[in-house]
Amino acid sequence: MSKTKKSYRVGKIEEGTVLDHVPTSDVFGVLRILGIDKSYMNEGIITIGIGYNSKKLGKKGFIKIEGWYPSEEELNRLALLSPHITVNRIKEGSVEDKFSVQVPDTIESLVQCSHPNCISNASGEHVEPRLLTIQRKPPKLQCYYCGEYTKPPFNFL
Amino acid sequence: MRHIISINDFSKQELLRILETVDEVQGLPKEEKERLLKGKRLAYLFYQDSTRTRNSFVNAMMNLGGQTHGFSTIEGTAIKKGENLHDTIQFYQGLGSDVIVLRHPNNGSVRFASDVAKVPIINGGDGSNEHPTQAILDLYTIRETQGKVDGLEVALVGDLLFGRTVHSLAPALSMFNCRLYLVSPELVKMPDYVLDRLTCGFSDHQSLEEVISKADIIYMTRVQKNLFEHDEKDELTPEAEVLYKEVAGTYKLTREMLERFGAKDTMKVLHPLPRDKIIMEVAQDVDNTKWAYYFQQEAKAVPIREGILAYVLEALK
Repeated sequence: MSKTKKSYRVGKIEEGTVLDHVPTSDVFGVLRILGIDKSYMNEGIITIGIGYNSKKLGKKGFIKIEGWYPSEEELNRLALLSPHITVNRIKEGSVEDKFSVQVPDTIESLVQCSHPNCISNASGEHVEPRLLTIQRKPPKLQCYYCGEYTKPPFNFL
Repeated sequence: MRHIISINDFSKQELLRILETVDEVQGLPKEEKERLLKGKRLAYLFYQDSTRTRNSFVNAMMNLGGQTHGFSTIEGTAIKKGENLHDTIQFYQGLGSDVIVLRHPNNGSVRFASDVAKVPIINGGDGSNEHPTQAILDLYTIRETQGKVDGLEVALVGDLLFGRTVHSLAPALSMFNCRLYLVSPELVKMPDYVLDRLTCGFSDHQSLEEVISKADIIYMTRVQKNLFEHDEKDELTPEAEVLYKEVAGTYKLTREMLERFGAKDTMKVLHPLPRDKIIMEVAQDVDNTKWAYYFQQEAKAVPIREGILAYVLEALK
């Protein structure tokens, strides 16, 4: 690989998903929401870049996931971390589909309700949190159960 | 299936229909009324203390010829052995309950229960969230005292953060385009998620005195000590203790205040009761004035619950 300053140090992928414009501080949060941890069983290579210059974000990160296409529903959950994240679906080396993530209408079993006394926070009750989006930018969620609002920064489960 | 979970699940027309049902049940011939819910069974699941709500539901069910079963404390129940709400609801359904009234310490617990249950669920108070059947009782009483609800000026006074009755009553009054004066200490103001549902005019106040002459109804509330955060030993957490001390006793409505600040002759003081015997947010000297109406208000608890049971069980169809 060339050592000129402008060159990327990571190559293109042929098949898979590229998440770009990820705020540096959210890169590991993205991995967590997508379930990419030590139990990750897909065979494709995952490449993570952090600290690239970005006009919009100052510094940005990206994640390249080879051979895996998470659903749009799954990817839209990432908007709770940052609305700037863009998704490129790559097939045969070309961008087949590109979109910005959008907060979904309902967020289940991902974000904790901000009301400490909500049934979804009660230990032993096994009630999964269910939050309804009432505003997308900035995200404002309302608990389906208790009605309380939950705003960023979110507590992810 | 008709649940009563949140006042916000109802339209103004539906609330008026429930009030009509109350009157229709009271207007039934005695024999017909006494067998209206014959063969039906009410489960009362009260995880927290209650005198008025529980007794009024139980009496209402019996007055209409129905049966009841349940618990008024979790002492001696499977809940003490670790049973969760989901399983308790399933059990009481299995026992043949036709309707369940639930009071539970967690906000949102009754909504969850309604997702589990295959029979109507009635919210008897879920944490600091809502108490919709009290709001229905309040609407009925307000209409009785003023001849209408539409356009009245109503002061809601006290702990508006943890007070679940006002979280149901404020949106209900908003549907009738009332003007609300929200009187509370800064620390326990009405939460945003309730305020955002109000489509009527409202304003925040810290002084009770400044709204006395404007109000058609002054709705006093008790500071809900049991709803402040408790630790494992069931004592207030240090933060909650500070908050409680700051808030308790802020408002005490006396006869002298009502006279001095020019309360309207037709104004009525309401209170969901009980009042706090130490704080006495409505002083005893108000009891015998033309303004006091809280004992007449509580006396309606049974007929209102009779109407509510007839409504959810569709007994008048």
